[in-house]
Amino acid sequence: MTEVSGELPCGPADDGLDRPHWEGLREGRLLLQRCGRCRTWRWTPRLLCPGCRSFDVRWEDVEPRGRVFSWIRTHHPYLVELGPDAVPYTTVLVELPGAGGSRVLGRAAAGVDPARGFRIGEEVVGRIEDVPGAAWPLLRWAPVGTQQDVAA
Amino acid sequence: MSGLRGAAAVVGVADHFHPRGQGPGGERRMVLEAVLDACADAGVEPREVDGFVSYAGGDLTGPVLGTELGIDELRWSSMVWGGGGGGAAAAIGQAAAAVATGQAECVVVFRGMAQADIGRLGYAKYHFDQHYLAHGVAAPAQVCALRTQRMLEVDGVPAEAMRALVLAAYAHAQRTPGAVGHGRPLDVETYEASRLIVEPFHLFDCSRENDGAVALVVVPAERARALRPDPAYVVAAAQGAPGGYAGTTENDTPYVTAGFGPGARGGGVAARLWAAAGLGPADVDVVQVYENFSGPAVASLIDHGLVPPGPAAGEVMTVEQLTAPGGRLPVNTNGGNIAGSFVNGMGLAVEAVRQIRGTSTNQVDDVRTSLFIGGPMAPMVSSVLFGTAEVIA
Repeated sequence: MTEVSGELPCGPADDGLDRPHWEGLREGRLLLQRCGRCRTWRWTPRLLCPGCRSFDVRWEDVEPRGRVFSWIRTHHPYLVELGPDAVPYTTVLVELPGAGGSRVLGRAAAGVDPARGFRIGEEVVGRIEDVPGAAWPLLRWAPVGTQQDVAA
Repeated sequence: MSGLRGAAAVVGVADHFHPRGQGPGGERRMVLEAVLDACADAGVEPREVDGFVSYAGGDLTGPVLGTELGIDELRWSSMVWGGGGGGAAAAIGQAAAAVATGQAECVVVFRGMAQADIGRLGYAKYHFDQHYLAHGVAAPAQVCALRTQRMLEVDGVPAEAMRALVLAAYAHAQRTPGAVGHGRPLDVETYEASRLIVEPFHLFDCSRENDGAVALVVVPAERARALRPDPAYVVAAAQGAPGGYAGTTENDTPYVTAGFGPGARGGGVAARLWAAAGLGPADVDVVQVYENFSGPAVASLIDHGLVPPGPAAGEVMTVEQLTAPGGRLPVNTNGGNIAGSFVNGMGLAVEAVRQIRGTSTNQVDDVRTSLFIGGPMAPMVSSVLFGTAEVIA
């Protein structure tokens, strides 16, 4: 891989609120926030449950499997850390039935054409991958039923 | 209808544009020049200005500008809180609220931008956190493209609706000296052949960036009538967003909206605007809609009920119908942010006022109401409806 020309911005925010999510990826787990009282999922991380206003936050495992909610293919090299050769590349927004419909962003998994077009509603499976230039593992997505899915 | 209706009016405007990075003297100098010109246009002395409102941040506070201008007394100084260009129309709403309630008498709404001072908005990647950046999403264009893609693919709004908005803006720019697109007509083939920025956006779907400054002078209605025969009265103003909109890294529920739609229990910026005005979308004569990108502007028009959702959007959004003077829904008659110029969208507010005065270079016939819609798909958005004296009588 030669796409990364600088360190990719990733990892916990300064306020530490999302640190368990990133630590989870290092353990090969997808952890999202869930209210300990009313069990409402929420993403991205916040202090307070918007459903019952409890501060009782939990981090729970989510199966990295879902449906494409939307997607884009980026042609302009906005993110300089990726280098000019990284474009075009696709980013998908994936809705997770296992987390109350929470949505997470991600790029195409290794072995999938990085500029592959997706279809909204398409089923995808996530893989937690070490990415060159990224100090933390990242969740990436492959269409269900493909070789990439089987390999996962 | 609300107590604000017809209580305040815009009586002075100025819009100065310079090529990106070439604005003379920086943001502060350009804003002061715009304020002086807007005061001259209004026929008020700069010392009479007693309030300042802006949006999207910056260091030019009321006290700073008031000191430079040598005003008699400062009575109002406020910044629309959150939402970037989404707060553009809200700034006018705040100024109108200030003078309508007697808290100030002469409030200037302004925005200045100099690339040397603030960099470029289109590359504002540090507005986004690691949950975006790690996945290659660094710019407003990409976030707006995510919502737009779903509007096209699921809701069925035709991509030609976006294209029509762009082509109409370029048609207007041909008759607008000073517009970036002036003398550069755009046709379907050139649009379609232009490079992709982030799908579904082509190059021409993206707004310009300029150096420049814009100012509007807002006074109570009574003073407005004494100053000039053609004030642009504030018929209604509304700001806000559905709860949680655009604040949860693409997890908000009303996803395919520009932010003007209803919240969890109804309402919404557009609905509140119409209720406060006592008017509806069918009563609007001309529209200036902030287009950071074409797709979000289409979503704004849908949110306001000016264009139907889904495939039917394409029936209203044709170049012919969007172009002044003959179109049914003339939009962005100075070329807008895409073909005209861009100072965080505030040039569109000036154009909305010119349509009320009858002085646009693409004047619509018999304008009574003129709508300005602020920046879409921002965490907070806003709209303001202007009208002639006849409308608020």
